[in-house]
Amino acid sequence: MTTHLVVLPILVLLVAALILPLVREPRRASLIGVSALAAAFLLWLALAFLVMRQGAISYHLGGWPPPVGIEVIADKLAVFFGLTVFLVAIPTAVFAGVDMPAEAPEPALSSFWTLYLLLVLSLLGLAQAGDLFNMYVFLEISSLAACALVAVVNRPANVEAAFKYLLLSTVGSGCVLLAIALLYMITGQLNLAFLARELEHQAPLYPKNVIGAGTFLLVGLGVKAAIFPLHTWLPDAHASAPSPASALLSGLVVKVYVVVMVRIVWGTLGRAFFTLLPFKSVLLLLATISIFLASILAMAQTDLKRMLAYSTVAQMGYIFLGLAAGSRTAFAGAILHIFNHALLKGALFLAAGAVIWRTGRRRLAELVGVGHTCPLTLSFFAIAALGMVGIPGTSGFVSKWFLLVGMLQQSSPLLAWVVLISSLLNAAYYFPVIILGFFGHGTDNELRFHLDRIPPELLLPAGSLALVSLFFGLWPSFPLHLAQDIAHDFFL
Amino acid sequence: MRITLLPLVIIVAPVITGLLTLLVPWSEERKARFSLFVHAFLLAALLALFPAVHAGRSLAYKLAPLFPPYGLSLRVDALSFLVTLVVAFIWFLSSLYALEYMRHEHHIARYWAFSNFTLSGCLGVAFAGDLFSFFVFFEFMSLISYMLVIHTETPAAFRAGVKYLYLGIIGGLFLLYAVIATYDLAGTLAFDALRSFTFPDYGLYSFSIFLSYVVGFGIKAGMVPLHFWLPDAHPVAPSPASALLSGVLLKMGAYGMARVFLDVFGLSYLATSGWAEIVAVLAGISIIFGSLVAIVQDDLKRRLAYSSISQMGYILLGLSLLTPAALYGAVLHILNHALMKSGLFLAAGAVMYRTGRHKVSELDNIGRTMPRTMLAFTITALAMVGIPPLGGFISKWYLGLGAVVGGRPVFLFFLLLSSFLNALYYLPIVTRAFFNRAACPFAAFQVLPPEEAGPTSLGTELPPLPPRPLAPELPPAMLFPIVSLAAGTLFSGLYPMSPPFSLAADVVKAYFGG
Amino acid sequence: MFLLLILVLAPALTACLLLFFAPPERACWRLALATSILVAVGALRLLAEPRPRLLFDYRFTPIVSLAFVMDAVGLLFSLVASCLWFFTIIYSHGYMKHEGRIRSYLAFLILSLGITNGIALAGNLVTLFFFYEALTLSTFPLVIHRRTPEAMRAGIVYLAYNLIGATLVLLAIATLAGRVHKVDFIYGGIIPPGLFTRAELVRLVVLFVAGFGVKAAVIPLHHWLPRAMVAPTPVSALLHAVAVVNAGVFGLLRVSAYVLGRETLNAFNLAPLLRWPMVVTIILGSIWAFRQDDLKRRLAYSTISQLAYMGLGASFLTSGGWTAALLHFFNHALLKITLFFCAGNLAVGSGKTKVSELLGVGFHQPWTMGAFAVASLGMIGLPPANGFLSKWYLGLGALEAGKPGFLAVVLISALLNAGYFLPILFAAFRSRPTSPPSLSEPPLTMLVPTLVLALSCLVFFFWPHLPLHLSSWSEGGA
Repeated sequence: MTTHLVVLPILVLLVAALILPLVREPRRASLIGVSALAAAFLLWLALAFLVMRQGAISYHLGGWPPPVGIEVIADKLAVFFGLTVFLVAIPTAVFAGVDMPAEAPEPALSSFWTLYLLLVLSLLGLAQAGDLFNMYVFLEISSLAACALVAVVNRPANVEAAFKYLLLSTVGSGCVLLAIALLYMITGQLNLAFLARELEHQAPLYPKNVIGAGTFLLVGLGVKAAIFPLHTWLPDAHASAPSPASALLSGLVVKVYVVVMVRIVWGTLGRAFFTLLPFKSVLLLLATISIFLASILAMAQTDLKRMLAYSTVAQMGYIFLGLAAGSRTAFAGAILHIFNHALLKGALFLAAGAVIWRTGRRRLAELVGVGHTCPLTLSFFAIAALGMVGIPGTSGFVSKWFLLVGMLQQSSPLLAWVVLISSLLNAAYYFPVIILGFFGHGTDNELRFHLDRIPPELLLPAGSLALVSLFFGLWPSFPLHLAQDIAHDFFL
Repeated sequence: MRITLLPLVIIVAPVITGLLTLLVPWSEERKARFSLFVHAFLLAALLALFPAVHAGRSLAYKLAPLFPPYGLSLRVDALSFLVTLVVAFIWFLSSLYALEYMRHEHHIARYWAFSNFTLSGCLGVAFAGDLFSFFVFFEFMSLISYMLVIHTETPAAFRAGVKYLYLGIIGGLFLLYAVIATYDLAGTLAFDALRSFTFPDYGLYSFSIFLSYVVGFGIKAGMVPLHFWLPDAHPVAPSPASALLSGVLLKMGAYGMARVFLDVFGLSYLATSGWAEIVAVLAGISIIFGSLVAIVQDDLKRRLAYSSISQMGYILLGLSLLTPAALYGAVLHILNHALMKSGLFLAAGAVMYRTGRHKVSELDNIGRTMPRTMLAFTITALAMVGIPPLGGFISKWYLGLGAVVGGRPVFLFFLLLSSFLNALYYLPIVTRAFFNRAACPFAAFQVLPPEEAGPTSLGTELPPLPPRPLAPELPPAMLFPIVSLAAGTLFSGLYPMSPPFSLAADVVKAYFGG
Repeated sequence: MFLLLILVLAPALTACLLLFFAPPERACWRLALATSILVAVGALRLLAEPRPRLLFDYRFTPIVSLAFVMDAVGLLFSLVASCLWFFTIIYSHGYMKHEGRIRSYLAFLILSLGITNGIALAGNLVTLFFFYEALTLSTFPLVIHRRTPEAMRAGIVYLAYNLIGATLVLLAIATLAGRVHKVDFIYGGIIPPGLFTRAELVRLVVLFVAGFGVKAAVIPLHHWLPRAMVAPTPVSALLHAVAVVNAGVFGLLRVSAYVLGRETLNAFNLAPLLRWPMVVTIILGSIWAFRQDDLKRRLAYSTISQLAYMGLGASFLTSGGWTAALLHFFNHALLKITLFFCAGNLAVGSGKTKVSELLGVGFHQPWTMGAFAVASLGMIGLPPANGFLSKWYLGLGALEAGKPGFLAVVLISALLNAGYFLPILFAAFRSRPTSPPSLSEPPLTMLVPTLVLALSCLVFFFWPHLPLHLSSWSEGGA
């Protein structure tokens, strides 16, 4: 059973996803969804132990060996990302159990859960994918599931956002497909390991193919991961989606494409690729612009969730910055930030969702003084926001630290300044929410902490994500070491 | 009790007295008498030290835990003993006088308290054995004496007090620089050790130190051009305090200058570098300037204040001529001028006390109302002018001698001119007091009442004092000090070689070697 | 280790208790008072164990760790903070009767105590930075406590300046971590010779000076301090004269002696980078103080000027200068808190907040003005107040370093100090009222701490053994 462990989590989720359309009652649906996730998580934990002890495990679907068969790899990167997925998806699922009935109409609820599980399993699949075919299938599933999740709520804004998302996503997928085609053309391989080996021979012969593939990958994955200038779909989609979906989208979905990019570009295409194409420089430039533009735009937002969405774009910029900076420490910092930001953004969206559920308000101007209605929730929001700004003691600080140290080691003080200034910009739009929430005018009484009259299913997920991120801010050794190992494996 | 502990007791006793005066709810009469008693005790204690000092022993006492990191260090040698004697003697007499005088003032307890504190500061300055303790006590003394200056709390007093305080602080800052720099160069601050230390060169750094000492002490001693606080501060204080300020506190500035010249830099160093010339020149200017301006003052105490400026110039001149005779003259004049000026101020105060008059132009025929007082005044004034056989003559003689011997006869001329000018402003008072105005042979130099004359003074005039209830007769407690001081000047002139005046010779011996 | 829990964690726990469980007001006061006594005793107890030693160490990575160390400089800061906090709580009891929201005030006040102790006892730059940022956040609610628009604006300025400063410090720390692979505090510095070029070191020094200089109110990064005077007086007294600004100076001291080290600074002639901003701050701070009519603002500018004395002392790179820095660290805290307490007494007792209103107030509040006089003496640097000794050592340090010109700067600044403190005293004791004045001193809970602290200024002139001993120990003695 041990090697089958690699695919079991996905299988469990798949089975649950297929059963769910048959379940009509929303409560039962949510129960099944959460239990499926929990079971998959336990299996994934077991897998993780195995991988940590033994190293990467490779699984051949149906017993067919590559390059014919489909290979599924459970290496540290996959395990790392999988853990991230579960840590965010499970609390969000609990949250969704209470929140979704308020946001979406009844008939849509069961499809919600199906889509949810499909999305999660596709994320896992993408992380684990060992060949391009597998990867492309899960790519499509994830994009479609994500779009559909946006559209679950039947409002005009959602429909429009979902449509934009779908359109751009399809273009992105198309580009990825083209890239796969170009690579297949010259190597005849779809399996990543074999592809890598073949490419070593073929790349010098067909540089244009490689360059073309790289460009298309950048564009395709870039759309999905919301790099400037391909990010325009994100604010609408993440802002209008129901809160649990926003948490997943901002926290996980955009990140998985980074994982894919790391696997393909850094893992497979290799050093030769970087010499052919100024991939890293382009990425650096786009990331920097992303960071600044998104931060500035975030400051101008009046809607809470839209502000959080722009913040996501900026944070993705950090990750790309760290990957392309050319330092192993920064690379590790970027990988770590995938984990950290997922937790933080998840906490932020869930807290925001709880506040919206309780007060019905999502405009920032209306949220002044909300600290007196929901002090606990706002505190969780505050903790996560401090993490985003990078206050020492939070997990955000740890990843920022490694990014900084790495960039300074490379003697790129300019990049270090980019990170620092953008942290300040982060403060500029997160702090007012908190300050005005707790200390806003018109509130002369003392702040009393109470349970906010928000049901625990909404409160606990946000709280647990915030506190877990705090925990990993003070004791980051586990994710840190994992990220450093991944950097060791993949860094170029 | 070890005799070396005595200086510490002498310094601490007035502080405790002052604190008691402030805190304990005795009657004011009782507090005044207690202070007087303490001052008498101090005088007696000092006299107990005299045999040791006369024998040439230098008593040193160090109290390390206090004033870290250098510790409080006290030392008694001939010069410091002389100065302390002056302080204690004048203070005692002034306190006796104040017993009566202050009865008609406000805030009597405060006066006695701060008088005691200032006394303690002066004693500490005099007994200090190293520059650090010296500086601490000096600053303390300068600050605390402010309360004496503003005692009457009139607007003029406050104005004078502000100037006094700020100049005191500025002087303190210059001194701080000088002391720290001395420590930087010499590695020690004890006077004994500094005597054997020579400054490494004659460069800018050493000069800046010297100049800072001169400025710091010059402010306190009323040396021109740093004198301008003096003509306002001394008159505006109550008369016993004026006596203290002019008679004692100015001397502390001179004492500091003496220590700098004699111990810190050393006479040979100064002679070679020629820096003492600066002080000599400024002292000379002080002498003439003070006398000239005193002539045109109508307010009696202001006239006396300018006279102090001039007389302090004598002392500073004597120090800066660097010859044994000049030094002898300077040290002697510290003694003499203390006696004389205090006597004059106390007499002026007595006149104000009995008649309410404070302007020279009002003093016609006052000798008839207060013959004994004015007789004492006359004797003392003649001593100031330098008429033998009074004390002032002896010190001026030696100063002149020192000037000539030191190759600077021009200063002799200054001294003579100044004596003449002294006469010009003291004798009219005397003649007015005893003779009618018209009969005065010095008619040409009479000061006209303000309505008749043009602008006369260089500073701000004091506003007229409020009318005072006239006392029927001068109380003995006030008369006795005035007369004693006059007698003292006589004694100083007749028996200049007897103790305590012989101490001046001891000082010269110590620094010139016989 | 146990003491560490008391000094850092106990206040944090108390703060959480106050915030989350909302006990009634009397209980809040008792809790706060008890905690401050506990912390003060703990700090004094630390004094009895005079060995520099590691108290606690938790490693995240080979470079980054959370470490607490007890050495001379940290002990000095911890003592100052812990003991003065106790007085402030008592003082607050009287002062805050007229204000609201006591519970959150006390909670954040106590929390800041724990964080300040964390800064004091931090054993490496990362730990210091952690608590440094936390201090900004925990003192922010105190600054905006009155919730007026002016207070909110002051709070935003406070946050902005401090976060920018922290960012600069972070950049410097990251540079060090990346190149030196060590961020611990070791006397003499942690930079191996030859690792950095002069240009890189200049950058590093500038970053540290600017970064810590925000909290230490170095001109031109000082603007937050006068504005922060809008906070209640105990906050101004404790935080913006003792804890927050001292944390900035503490950072500068740590960096100059324990990270960069005297040798490195000497060898590359980096001291002027620290020295000249200090000189400018000393002079300009004093000059600007003249123009302030609001009493607390005048004290704020005086603080700005006096803090730079400490940086100046450290920049001389001599033993005298270092002693001066530490001595004035100690002395200035006592003096400034006394002055601010007097300002609070004046506001509560006579309702006066401006210098121009103080005519004759000395007769209505003689004890307060007496304390003010003593503390002013100390600020000017006159014996018998403790400030004199700091100036003495500062001058000595200047001369030891061969730079007499800076002694002149100190002396001129002393004169300027006289210029803006003495007129207050003159005005207060002028114009005695014709009838016996009514005594309008504030309640004893405010008056007694003021007087005790003023007295201590005098006491520590005669027995400055504590800070002197600590400073000599910090250089490698005992």
